[in-house]
Amino acid sequence: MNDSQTTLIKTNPFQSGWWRRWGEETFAAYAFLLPSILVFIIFTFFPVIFSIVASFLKWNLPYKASFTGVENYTSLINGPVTSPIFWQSVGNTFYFMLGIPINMILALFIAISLNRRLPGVAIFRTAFFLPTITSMAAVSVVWMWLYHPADYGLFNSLLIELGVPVQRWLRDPALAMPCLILMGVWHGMGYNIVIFLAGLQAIPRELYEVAEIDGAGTLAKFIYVTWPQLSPTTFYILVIGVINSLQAFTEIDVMTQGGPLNVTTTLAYYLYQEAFQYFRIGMGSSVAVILFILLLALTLLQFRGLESKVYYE
Amino acid sequence: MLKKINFMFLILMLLATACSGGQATESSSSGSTAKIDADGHITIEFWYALGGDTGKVVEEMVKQFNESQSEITVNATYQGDYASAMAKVWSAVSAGGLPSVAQIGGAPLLGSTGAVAPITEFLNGSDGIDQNAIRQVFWDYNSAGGVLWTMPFNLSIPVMYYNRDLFTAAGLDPTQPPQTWDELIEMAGKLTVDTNNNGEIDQWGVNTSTDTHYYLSAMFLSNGVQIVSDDESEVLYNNAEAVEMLTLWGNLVNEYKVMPPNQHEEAKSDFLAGKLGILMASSSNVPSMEANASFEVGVAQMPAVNDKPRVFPVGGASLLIFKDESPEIQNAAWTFVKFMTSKESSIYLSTHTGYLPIYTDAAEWPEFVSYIQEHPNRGAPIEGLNNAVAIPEFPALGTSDSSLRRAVASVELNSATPQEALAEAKRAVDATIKEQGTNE
Repeated sequence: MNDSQTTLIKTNPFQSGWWRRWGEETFAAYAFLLPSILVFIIFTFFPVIFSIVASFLKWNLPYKASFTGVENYTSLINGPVTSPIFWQSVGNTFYFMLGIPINMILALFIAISLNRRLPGVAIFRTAFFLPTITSMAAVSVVWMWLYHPADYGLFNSLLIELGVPVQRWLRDPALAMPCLILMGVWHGMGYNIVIFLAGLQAIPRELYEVAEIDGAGTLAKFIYVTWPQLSPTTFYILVIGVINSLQAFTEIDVMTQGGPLNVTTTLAYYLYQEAFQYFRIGMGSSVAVILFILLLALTLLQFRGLESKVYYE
Repeated sequence: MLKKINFMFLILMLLATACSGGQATESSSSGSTAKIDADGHITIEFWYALGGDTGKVVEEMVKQFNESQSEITVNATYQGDYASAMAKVWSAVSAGGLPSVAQIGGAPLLGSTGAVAPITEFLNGSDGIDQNAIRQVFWDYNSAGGVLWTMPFNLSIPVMYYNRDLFTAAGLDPTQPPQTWDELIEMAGKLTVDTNNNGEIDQWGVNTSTDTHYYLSAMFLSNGVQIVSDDESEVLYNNAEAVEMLTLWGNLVNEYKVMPPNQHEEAKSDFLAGKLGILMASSSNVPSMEANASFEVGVAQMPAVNDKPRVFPVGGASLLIFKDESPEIQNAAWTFVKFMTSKESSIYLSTHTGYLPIYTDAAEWPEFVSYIQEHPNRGAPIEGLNNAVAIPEFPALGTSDSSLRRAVASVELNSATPQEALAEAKRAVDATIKEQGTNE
């Protein structure tokens, strides 16, 4: 009995090193992860792969799909009809990203101002965060009133008070993109302020005390203590900002539909137009893949180029 | 933002299911959503694309149908506006799950998917109806590639709304809206005012709703321009007559300065706020304009080009029946469509919304005669139907519409001459037609 038991133990694969390392616990872990893995595969992984496949198809609804190789990509890059608007939308996408540095500078400034123990500071923190939790669609509709091109628009009535000629804001090709950027900064700043505030509060007070003993002024404390200590936060905000900016859609769809004269057609909006207005699914998927590559490249570039400058404790 | 992109991937994914299933479009019945109970009771799905108050009217009509008989139950589901509903139908055409009946804009184009049961089969069947009772223009509007695919349901034409109070204030007769574009330019000049004397115009003479291509198309048709060639191989709006109309449009903005440049997004709210004298918009808006304006609204037909007859392009949506292997379900779908487009339903829909009656002699029906006496603003659009035509539903129509909107914006913003703008529009649309044509 004893003998057979030992052999059983010896030969039992469940007792071997492999099973202990990869079995039971790993299995349990995967079992717990299964629901989220399934959701991820069905709603993210599979669609991504599918849209890569679709980008090599000529698929203009209602006609059936057929394989065309890289034709969608070549017509985006130098086709006579599609390439001008494609390149314009690439340019617009980068233009729209101008909002990121503006947003970061303002958010950092406000976060530093709010990072002190003053009566009523909680009210200000709430006020700055409110736009961020308001739906972008609702914000866009309200801002269309602020940007109304006639003299009874809110911004124009302010300009009149200041004696400046009224502007056509969203309806002026030169101003439409700056208008979207300004609203985006206002809407997104609250989130960045909160992240910056968390970063600021994690900086040990001793560092400031030491700096003060060494005779550092406000500016020196910011340059030698706050900024380096904040660098992981700043880096995070930059990466997330680029990703969000590349995917901006709602405000464009509500306020300008890519106009006037396509000056606010970003890649994400162009993707939507191709796939869901003209029902050119293959072409839309190609734009999606290019958008994905651009996003990946920009994120990698940020990690390669900037992460070495980030100070982690 | 992220959600929206994920939603797009979701739609792409739905379409994917079809790809793996091969030519799912050929066997549409595989995804049938209709049910027949053991006792023969049939339940069918109906998708519609009219929201708000108009949507409630559609729901009420469905309820009336369900209460009028006991063999068929219709489940009605709102699918978002025309564009969203269309996207959902496309997905279902590929992936299955199509309803038995749908109310949708641009419906005849779905004919080429093979998933639609042509309405002409039911019309000519044993349970058919007299086609002559319904206006020919609506049958034209529901045909594509020479086949009558769908049933006319909610239809409209472009009309001219005007603010009678502003007319009076400008010294114009509030019962005499402009009959020609020349008259319109003159009256719009008087309606364009800097009301607070700050050097900025804040009350404009004329503007159009956001679908500028619709009003430009009306002007094209009235000036003898055909939108697309008979074989649908090219668009025909880069000729002198078309350029003349787009030039007139540009002059309203840049020469006579009676229309604000590129302000169509705000036009409807400007009109309702009493800041706009004349607005071109769809006739389906008459009840909502009257309900929301604090002034006397007038409705008239869009102006004529000199002494040429006016021509208006029909807009709106249709009912279509999707193929199903079961003849009982097909017949149930037709019974429902027939109910929704009957004389009584047409009266109900046209008197509870701004849509136009589909029957040729509706204007003489006593119900309508008394209704128009009480609602005189509904008269002009119904009269305008006598001059209505259907722009052929060709596959590149969406591209054509957006190219024309782009041409209007370029001319209003002085970034292109009307000749250049229309040549560019034609180039883009013709290239799309050529590209799509090779995919069949």
